[in-house]
Amino acid sequence: MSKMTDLQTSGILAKECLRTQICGEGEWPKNTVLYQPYETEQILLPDNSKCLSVKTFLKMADLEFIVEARENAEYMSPHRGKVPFIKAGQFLVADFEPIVNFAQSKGYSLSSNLDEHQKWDLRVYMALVNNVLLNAEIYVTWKHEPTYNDLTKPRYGSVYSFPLNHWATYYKRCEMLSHLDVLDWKKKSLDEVFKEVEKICESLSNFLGDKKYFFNEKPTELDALVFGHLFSIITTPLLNNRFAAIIRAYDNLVQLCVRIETEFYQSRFL
Amino acid sequence: MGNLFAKPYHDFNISRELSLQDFKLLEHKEARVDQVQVQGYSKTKDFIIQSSINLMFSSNSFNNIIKNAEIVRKNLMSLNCFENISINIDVSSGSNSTPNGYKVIFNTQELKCASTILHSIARDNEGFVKLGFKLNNLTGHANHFKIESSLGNSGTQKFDACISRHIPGSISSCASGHIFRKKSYWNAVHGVFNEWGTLFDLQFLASYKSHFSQNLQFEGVIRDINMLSKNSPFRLREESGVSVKSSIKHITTIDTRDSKVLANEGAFLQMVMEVAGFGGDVKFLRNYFTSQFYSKISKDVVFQGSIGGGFITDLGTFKKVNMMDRFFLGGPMTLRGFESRGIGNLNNNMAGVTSYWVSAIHIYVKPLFGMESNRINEAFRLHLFCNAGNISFFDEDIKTNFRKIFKDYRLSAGVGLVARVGNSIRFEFNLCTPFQYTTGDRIVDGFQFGVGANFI
Repeated sequence: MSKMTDLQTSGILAKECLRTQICGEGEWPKNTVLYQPYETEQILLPDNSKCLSVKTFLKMADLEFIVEARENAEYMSPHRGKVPFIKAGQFLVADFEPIVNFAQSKGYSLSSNLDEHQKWDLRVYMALVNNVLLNAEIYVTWKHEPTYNDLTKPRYGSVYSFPLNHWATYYKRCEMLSHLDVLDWKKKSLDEVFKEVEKICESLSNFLGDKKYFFNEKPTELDALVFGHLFSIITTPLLNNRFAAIIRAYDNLVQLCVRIETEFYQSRFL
Repeated sequence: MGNLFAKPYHDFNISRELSLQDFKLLEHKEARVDQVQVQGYSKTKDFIIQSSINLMFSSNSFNNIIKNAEIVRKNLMSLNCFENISINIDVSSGSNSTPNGYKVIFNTQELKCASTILHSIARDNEGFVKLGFKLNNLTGHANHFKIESSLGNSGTQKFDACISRHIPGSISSCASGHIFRKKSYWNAVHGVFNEWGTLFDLQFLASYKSHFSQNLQFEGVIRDINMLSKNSPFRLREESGVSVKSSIKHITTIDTRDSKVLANEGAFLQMVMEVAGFGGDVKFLRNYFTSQFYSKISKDVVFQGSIGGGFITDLGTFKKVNMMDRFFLGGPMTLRGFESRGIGNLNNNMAGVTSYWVSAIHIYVKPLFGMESNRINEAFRLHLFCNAGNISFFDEDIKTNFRKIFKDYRLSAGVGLVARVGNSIRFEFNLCTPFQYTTGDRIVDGFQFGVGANFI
């Protein structure tokens, strides 16, 4: 049995070696393209947050990329349904964390100067944001009935012709609901969801304190991720502004968003 | 075929089989059908049968009666309501009979209400097992309901529910509606295709010589292309996603072959014209055809010449036709000596091409040369073949298109063994050599095995 696991581990190691060999250290591939759904007509809150996080991360790390919008971005993605994804040379990488890891394998990291303890904090908070904010966005977009009918359905189906707009939206909803079900979020009420959001905002706010970024002077992956989510939530028009209002209550988080916005995007204002 | 019995006019009460001379005598004799009896049916409605047998009353000679009886039998069988039909022709007797009058009796045996489907078919180099059940003649109007699912050995799955209704007449027609779900898997590069769709089909069968049929179909399908492999070229990945096709298709088939798989004589022509874009997001015009021509050179040698081709014109503006609509060429049953869909460069035309042509010449020899027909001679043939074909992208300019068609065409030849299983499955074991190919083609130089129902 142990031999078997040894073999498996050596297999995985060999694959990993091969991967790093192919990827190589150093050069960030030229002509890297980030694929995402259409921003004005199609994209939904959770995808928008993730796209914004990835874009912010790439900008913070000063990595070159161009954005291309495709209506079938989520189907083109190497991990079906996950947007955004990047095409870097021969590689396709989808979702925030894999892209961060990919950049790291190329030698670009925002958190390399942190000590062990801070790195743990970074990971914990990133996991927290992914677990709570992302799921809350998915909940509001797909589970909350009025939002689903008034916003999600027309937006998601906007790129498809008649029978497909209902069909594709229905399938996506089933998928998303089963995702929420697995994580035990499906049974929650909207109030409970917002309570969770409040909790995480509170702890993020406490962690940020008066600092410029979460880990003092330099932005990290956590800043990119938090900015992506919070900025999207604040700026996306929903049926009512309850979701945004929760976040607006934490002044230092809003200030963080403004700071990142002006520093890395400049053109837009809150 | 049923039994043919008759009583000559002068010879009462003695029923005997006709000798050839008697038959010749009777052949041109004036005759009239007085009575037609159909026996043995209970569920089928009368008017369904009536419209089929009306033809009998138009016969004016004995020969005519026999011919018409056979046509009526075929028509009745095509209703799919009967298991077996035999014909009796008799002189009519009784008060209403006329001097030249005959009585025709059809002995029928109806199919059971429900039956199971279990058989194997082969298509596109893949063997399938079909499982399902059938409800025959639901209300007696020759309407059927069928549910079947087929599983292929390389991962293709199909589920199909079909309701069909036969409309008898001088041109018999069949209307059917299908709901299907199909999942096909070609190879690792092209990913998985999922389809959910409906198909309405109207088929007209005219018994001109043997078979001349026309189908008018409407198809509405939701297609989903899913790239599984990370190694798929990005060009293919760009086409992944969901799309709707709603199209009207017209199929003309003329088939005078004496066998569908190993024919000795006859010709086969099938033309398909498809216009998509009635709703849905792809718009195109697609035409393709296959033709085969057989001729017997001597008792044991058969010549086959085939040609096929097709082109697709994209009419869409927003969404382009994707690889499920375009053509692919190559494979052990079409352009032998190349892998299935193996013609073309991975980067340029992996996602299909807009036009193709393929041709073949076969010379078949019966394996037991000179012997009377027996099982081996019927099921196997040795063949020599030569294949040529090409793919190209059409554009606006007709002159360059014409040049493109023949530029760098592919050529292969070889020998092999063809086997027939049942009446529709064809196996081929070939030793082939591609003579002309371009870089990027995936060739098979040597042994190639193919199975399928469609071939060139």
